[in-house]
Amino acid sequence: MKKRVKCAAVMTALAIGSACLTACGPKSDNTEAGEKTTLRVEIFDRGDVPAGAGTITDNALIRWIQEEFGDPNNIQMEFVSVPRDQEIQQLNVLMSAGEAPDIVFSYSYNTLYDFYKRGGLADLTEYVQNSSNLKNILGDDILKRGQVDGKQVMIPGRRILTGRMAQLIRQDWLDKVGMKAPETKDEFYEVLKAFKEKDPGNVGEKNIPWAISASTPYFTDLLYSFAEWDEMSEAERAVTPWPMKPGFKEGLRFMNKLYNEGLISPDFALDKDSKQMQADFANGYVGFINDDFGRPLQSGSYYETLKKTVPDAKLTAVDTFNDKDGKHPKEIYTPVGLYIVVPASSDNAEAAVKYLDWMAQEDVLLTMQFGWENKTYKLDENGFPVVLETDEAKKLHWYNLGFDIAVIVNGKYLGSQERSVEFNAVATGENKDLYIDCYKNSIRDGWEPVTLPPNDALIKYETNISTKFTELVTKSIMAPSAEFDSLYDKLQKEFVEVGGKEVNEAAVKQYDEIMK
Amino acid sequence: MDETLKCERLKSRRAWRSTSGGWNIKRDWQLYVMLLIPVVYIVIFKYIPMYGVLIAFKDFNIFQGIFKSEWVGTEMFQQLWTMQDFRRAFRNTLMLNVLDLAVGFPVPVFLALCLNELKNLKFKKISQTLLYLPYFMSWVIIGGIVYQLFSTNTGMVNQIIKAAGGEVVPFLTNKWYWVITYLFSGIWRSAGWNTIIYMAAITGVDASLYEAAEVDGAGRIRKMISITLPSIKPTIVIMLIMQVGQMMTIGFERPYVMGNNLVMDFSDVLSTFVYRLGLQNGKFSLSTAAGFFQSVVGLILISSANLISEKMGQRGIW
Amino acid sequence: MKKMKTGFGKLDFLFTVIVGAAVLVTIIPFLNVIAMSLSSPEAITRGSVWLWPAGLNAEAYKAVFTDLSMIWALVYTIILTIFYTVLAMILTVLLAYPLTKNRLRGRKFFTFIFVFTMYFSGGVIPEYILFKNLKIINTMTVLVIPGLLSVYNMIILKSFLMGLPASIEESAYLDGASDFCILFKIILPLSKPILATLCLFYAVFRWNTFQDVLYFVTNSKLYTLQLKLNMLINITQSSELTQFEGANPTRIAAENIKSASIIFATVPIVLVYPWLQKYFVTGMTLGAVKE
Repeated sequence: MKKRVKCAAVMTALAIGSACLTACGPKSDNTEAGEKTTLRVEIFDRGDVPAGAGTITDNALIRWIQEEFGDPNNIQMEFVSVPRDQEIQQLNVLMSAGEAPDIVFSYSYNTLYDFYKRGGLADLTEYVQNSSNLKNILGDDILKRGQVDGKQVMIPGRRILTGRMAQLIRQDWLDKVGMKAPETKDEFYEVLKAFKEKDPGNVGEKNIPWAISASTPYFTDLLYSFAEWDEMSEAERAVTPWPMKPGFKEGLRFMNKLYNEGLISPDFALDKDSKQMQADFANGYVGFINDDFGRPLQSGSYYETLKKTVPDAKLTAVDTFNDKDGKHPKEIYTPVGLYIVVPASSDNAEAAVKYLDWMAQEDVLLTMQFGWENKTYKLDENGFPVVLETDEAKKLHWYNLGFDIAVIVNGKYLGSQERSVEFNAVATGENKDLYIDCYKNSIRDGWEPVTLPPNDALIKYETNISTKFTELVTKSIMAPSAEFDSLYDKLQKEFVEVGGKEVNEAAVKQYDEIMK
Repeated sequence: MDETLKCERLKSRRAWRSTSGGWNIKRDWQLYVMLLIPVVYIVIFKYIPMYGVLIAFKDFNIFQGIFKSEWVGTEMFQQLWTMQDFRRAFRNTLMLNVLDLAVGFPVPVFLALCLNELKNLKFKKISQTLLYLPYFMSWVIIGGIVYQLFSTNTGMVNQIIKAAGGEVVPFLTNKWYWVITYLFSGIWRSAGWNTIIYMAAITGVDASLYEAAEVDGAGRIRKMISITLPSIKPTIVIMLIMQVGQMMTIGFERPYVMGNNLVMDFSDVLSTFVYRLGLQNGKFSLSTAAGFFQSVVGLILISSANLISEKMGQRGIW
Repeated sequence: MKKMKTGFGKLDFLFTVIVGAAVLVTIIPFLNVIAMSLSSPEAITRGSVWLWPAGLNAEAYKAVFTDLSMIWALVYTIILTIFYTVLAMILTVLLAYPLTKNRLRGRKFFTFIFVFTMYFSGGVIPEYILFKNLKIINTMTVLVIPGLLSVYNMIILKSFLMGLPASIEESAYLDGASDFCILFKIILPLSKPILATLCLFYAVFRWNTFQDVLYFVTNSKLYTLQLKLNMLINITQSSELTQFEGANPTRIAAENIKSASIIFATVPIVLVYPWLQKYFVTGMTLGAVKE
């Protein structure tokens, strides 16, 4: 397989016939004197290597990996950096040039699936079968998600915390208006109204009872809670695009009402990076927010800024978007983080899986994610690693490095999900209980989006419908009440016509076939 | 003696100015030597990789490489053309670029003329440097500031309007107003930078022309309009032609940062459209096809603009 | 020669006002960034920093100036830019001058093959393969040579040169000067303003462009300043990235450090133009020819 790509590259070069082109060089110092094999591993480059720590491809941790894994196994580790926000483009370029690393990964299942369909991924089934550590940490469920046509072509990393969004409300505002934390949408509406009318934060015109931004996940859980699940088949429930699910219109109608009564951020549609939402919250103008469950509570976040602006501010976790059955459905993440693959052109699939298997041990992960005890972290009374934030420590190990090297897990792995949650909670200091409440809320009644292998209709129309979706949602919410119905119906019809219909039919059919 | 010398000089002069005649290596060899390096450069670095445009005509498979991928002819272009969003993006690209040209092109010229009139040299030098500062700020930053100034309910400009008793203006949320904001932000960012080339041209104006006009009693404005402006006309024409040639290309950052869901109808252009397509493998061919399409149109445009300007007596780019 | 009117008239006032207003408007983004670079991160998150710092402190600048990788990137980018600009100008002049000569057979053909490359290019993949084969990936060379010629700049130079009176060259030619001689001894000295302008264009282009660095350079020691800056800022722009990566969002730089970095990366290149202004001297063509 490697020869094929190499041939393509050589033929390409020769076909041009320029005198200046040298013959295709050896494919990345692979076989030196036939002794050591070189294992090339992708690593994200975020441009944030601390001063004195080396580079993203040469630092204390990487040297440690070479000592502990590379040398004993006669493997030369080589890390290939890929800029974080250009990962897919860069990957495409590297693969086209026949220079793809041996271990490659992406969050985009569709991209990797496409690689598979074009014969570009190695079959790792045999090697994974023999990898007890991997099987232990990942488990069958996750490994299955990386199998296509019965072959293990991807190794999915494990996402430790699958919660996504959690709702927070200003307890001090609730106390001032004399209401209790809402648990249903009706109560929610009453609370928002009270916030608006009574202005418990004393901020006047800037009062925003519920702050959202242009990024739809900040309010989609509310929309989804209006879905009429009974009227849908199992397939439809799983894969039908939202604007075509019954009940979606009512969700938007509700939000439209909120918007027109001044209960949500007036310029949310312009707030593409959510900066305005965060600024409003940090300034104390906001009563309720639905955000990534961990973010407001982490150190250096805008929750801390809020405490500085309004020292009396108190936050409580609530869960108020109920559906007809009294549940609070929320979208959560699949338990998969990155999808790890080995290109078919690689000679080192076995070594690659060996590396991943070695990685899948608790003590190895501990070093990868936290560094070395007493040098970069200390253990507290619960046995949790507490990162030492000194410059000296940063020269050896820093936050993002741990994240990017330990690719088989997404989030800090400490043996079990509960321990990871607790670890994060403790790290937030005095907000420990709040964090735990938020996390519990974020997974209650959680449902995973279904990942189907991309079908042709989806590939063809997905850009269309995703754009149309955001247009539909934003415009419907902002429409004057009297125009809501006509606007929604018009846009929904357009959604169906630009591809919603085809995608729906194909997805339902695909789902039924898979579930048979 | 004089006669023969004069003859020689005339012959040489004619030879110097001659446009016809074949390859006169003996006379022109130095010029060809000068050309040698650039030509070698362009063959190696631009023409050799040129085969990449073939991706637009193939179903590109990165594992097979460009040459082995399946040839699909114009299928990608057809697919593009049937996409509603593509046609809209095409229309928007043209529309925004034409407006940019109409509204934004004269501003740097005007500014350069004004700068030239400044008597206080220190003020002039400082202004020139300050004027082009926004050009160095990326659109992400400019976009953030535009948002702070012009957002519908919380933007500063609208706050002032509200305080003065007026109605808020949907600068960024209504697609018609959005176009105006878009154009203004472009001028804001680039006008200062674009004055530089005109300032350079103005320094080349023959000072004796001004003296002669002074003698004829021309006022300052008169001098500006009748001397400075016509003298930099060749520069203006060239810049104009080049910009017309860029009518089909549009940067990504500006419309992306300034656009939003509500004004997509006007803000989605070819660059943002390609970005939304995504770069999964199948889309590589589509996005290359879109780029190829832009290139062809661009080349046609610049050739036409050039032709027109030549017909009007101005020197073109060839 | 009549004495030029001195003193500050109504028109002077008008022009000063126009230019002054333009300056005030265009300076806003810069002031905003400077203000943010001198403010506390909380004040910025709150959105309270506009044209004046809030929570005035120089922490951000301290952080940037003690960041060795930034200092190195600055030095490296300066060296790269100078190198690039000099080579680019040489190439541009060598190309533009012959193309101005009507007598050169093949002139239109050559011009066309260059203009063609303004519109058609192969894209990143063939370029990557070419550079790989030339073994220049991950070297400084790949940032200098491939982008060396801007046809756009060349055309500007060409038009300018064609605007010079032909009589200047003619007299020199008749006196027996060679083309090289004419180019270097006569044409170039007369073209100082336009050459200075193009130097600026090339320098700014190389300084600001980081797309090629992104694709062709992986050794972070060879990162240009703008690339480092871009990575610093863009990481936070994409909230989807954060969501993908789970609720442990990667640590991001404080807002004031981002702003200080922007200033750090921008000031050097901004200073190039004032420095070049001494070449924008009038009347170079004056008196060169006496018909």
